[in-house]
Amino acid sequence: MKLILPDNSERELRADGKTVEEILLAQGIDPLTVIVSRDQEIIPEDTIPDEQDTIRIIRISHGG
Amino acid sequence: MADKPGILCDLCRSPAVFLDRASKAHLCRDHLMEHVEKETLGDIQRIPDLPKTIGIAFSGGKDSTALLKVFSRIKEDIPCRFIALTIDEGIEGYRQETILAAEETCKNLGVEHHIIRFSDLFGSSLDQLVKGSGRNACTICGILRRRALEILAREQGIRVIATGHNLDDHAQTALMNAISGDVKKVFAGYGPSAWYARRIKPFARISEREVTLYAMLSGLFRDLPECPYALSSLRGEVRTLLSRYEREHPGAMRNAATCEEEIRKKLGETFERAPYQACTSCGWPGSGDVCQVCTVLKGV
Repeated sequence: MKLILPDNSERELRADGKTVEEILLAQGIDPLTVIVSRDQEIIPEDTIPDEQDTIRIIRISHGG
Repeated sequence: MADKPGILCDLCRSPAVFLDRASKAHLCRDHLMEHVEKETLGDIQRIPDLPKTIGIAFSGGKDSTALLKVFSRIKEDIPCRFIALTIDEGIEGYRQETILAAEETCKNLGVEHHIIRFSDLFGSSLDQLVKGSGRNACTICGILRRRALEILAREQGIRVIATGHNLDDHAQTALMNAISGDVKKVFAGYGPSAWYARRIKPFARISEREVTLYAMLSGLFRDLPECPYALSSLRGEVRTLLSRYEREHPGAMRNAATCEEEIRKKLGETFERAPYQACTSCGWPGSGDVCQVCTVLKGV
């Protein structure tokens, strides 16, 4: 699967049946500080992605 | 592209967009938005003596944008009209873009909008003030922004200001108050004041993620730059800490916020506050001979 980070850089990973939350934590990203989308649709962090999925991480900016 | 199988809303079986980690409930777009609007409306309806017009402190960021949108959606059910009040602190590389976003959002929602600038009010931008001071940027900004908002509200005849502070903000403040050990801060702003406009916080029971999702699902979310001073603050450290606790102990954020609120409710009336003193320099009421605004502006 492909992970697109907030700075638009990309990482190819194996999903291996893990949840989005587990994948983010393994990448050093706190899942509560981001919103996640798959195919332009927002998904909850307990979703289990497929190996073909592209997951985009949207940072929650603070303040405002 | 065909829809992928995913997690469904507990209420209607549409695709879920949100997991409430404490209750383990999943919500779809419509039910998440409905939840935010219902919570906000309920909060506003519990507030006594609302005037005909209230001001919404509107920075153009996600929280106040979501608040303005919610107000626009529930305006038929609330007993007052609202206008947007924006402070331009003068932060290079950050504020110009958010001010533009604020102007565009107000135009799209048809909301009356007023802006006031630090440079016009205080003779300097926040950037200039921070350069000449040993104080933390967020401390200077907080003191001056409060005054600027009061001045703008007075100019518009506003006596009640709604802010976009969410549950996470409240939990962070509660922990910061505990860390600083300053009991006065727990009760700061508690109780009525004849001078200062009353503050209301309709998002106090809604998490930052819910508010962010609401702004995104409304089509109003923009990936705006973050304040360059945000990372240097104690709040940044507390935010990281609380986020970890919330992940490992779902509900921790809500418990921290509720705990301080309960203390305030139960002990607020018994806490003795020193009366305001008129500042010898500007005449505004404060806690010493010279108010914090004048202290900041004199670079003390």
